[in-house]
Amino acid sequence: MCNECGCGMSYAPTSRTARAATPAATPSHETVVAVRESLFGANEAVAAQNRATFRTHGVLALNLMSSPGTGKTYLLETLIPLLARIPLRCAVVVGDLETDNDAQRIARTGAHAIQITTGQACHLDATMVADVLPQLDLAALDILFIENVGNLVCPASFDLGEARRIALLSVCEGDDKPAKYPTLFHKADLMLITKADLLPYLPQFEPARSEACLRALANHSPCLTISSMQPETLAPLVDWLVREHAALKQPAHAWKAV
Amino acid sequence: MHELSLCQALIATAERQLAARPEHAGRRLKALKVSVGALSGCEPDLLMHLFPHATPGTQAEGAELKVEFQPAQVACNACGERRDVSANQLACPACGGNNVSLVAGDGVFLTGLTLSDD
Ligand SMILES: Nc1nc2c(ncn2[C@@H]2O[C@H](COP(=O)(O)OP(=O)(O)OP(=O)(O)O)[C@@H](O)[C@H]2O)c(=O)[nH]1
Ligand SMILES: [Mg+2]
Ligand SMILES: [Zn+2]
Repeated sequence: MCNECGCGMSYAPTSRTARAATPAATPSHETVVAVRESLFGANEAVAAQNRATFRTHGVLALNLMSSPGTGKTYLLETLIPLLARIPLRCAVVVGDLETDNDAQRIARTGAHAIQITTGQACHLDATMVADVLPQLDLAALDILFIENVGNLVCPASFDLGEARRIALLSVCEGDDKPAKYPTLFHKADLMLITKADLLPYLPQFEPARSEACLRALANHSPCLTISSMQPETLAPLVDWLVREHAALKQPAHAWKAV
Repeated sequence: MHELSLCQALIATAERQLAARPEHAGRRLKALKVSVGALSGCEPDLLMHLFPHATPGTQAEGAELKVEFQPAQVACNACGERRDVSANQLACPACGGNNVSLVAGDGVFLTGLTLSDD
């Protein structure tokens, strides 16, 4: 996926289950030291700092994750003016492998948009987000949208310090995505089915089937079907955002530690 | 996903764990044991494949990587069942309910270091 290796060696996967280590007797000149440490620990430590920063400033940080082209940027372009009327003040951090096109599009809404160009990295990590936070006036913000790199695999493993994770899936992608990418969808706090205006052309896509796949992941989060071409369909999403933002003010708000 | 950076994190973690155990100073790191969860996003085979490329010049050079695959495991909050399940079917296999807690299979952990005197 990430072209990180480039070793040119052939790669032949064997069965996952064939990997279980066989317990063998330990020779007398050997010692087995038992430890337990997460290999994502370094990222998680930075994510915890980001989370604390957002909490201090009462900013609702949201991590938007989907395949490329699901409509993350277009949604933000449509949504931010609706939120401005409430008023909820928004800013966006957006990750892409190349170009600052998305930041430019979002900046036209008047919201502060910061592009992170990741080059080879196909996901954002907590340090990339921490590095751009000084550019934001957090005290003057209500919601920070973090648009992750379009990718359903890697972003799922990297906590950014967000309060909530939003997984998007467009009607063009097939309705069983949650079953195919459980790592990403099982942790989503909201699932959005996007491009609903195209549903008449894609009768084979059944939103109910997507939701059933999400429920099979024991995920009870809300699932909304929206179209950024039809702003009235965004009303339930606006309500969700208003509620989540209001909940921040309550001490009982469950700040998610992944 | 990021198996090469995970290999690097693995080696750094192992070196840090060894540094914290001066009683083992001078012994050779013979094997590293890792648990890879079904919902971790990490591919065990890729990890095995890339590990030898990440070890040169580190304390893990020449060491063996033992990968243990950890299936998703849920504990049912309704009926109390605790069982391994498939990664995209996390509902309780006993009662069918989906009020469950994921108790294993969500992460990648260094779980053991084999040290040798030879
Ligand atoms: N018909 C229709 N098209 C949409 C909708 N939302 C987005 N699009 C179109 O889909 C294409 C991709 O949308 P983007 O908003 O750029 O998608 P993205 O998820 O930000 O893409 P990446 O940042 O590249 O991952 C654009 O041509 C959008 O105009 C929608 O609700 N309906
Ligand atoms: Mg975009
Ligand atoms: Zn049960």
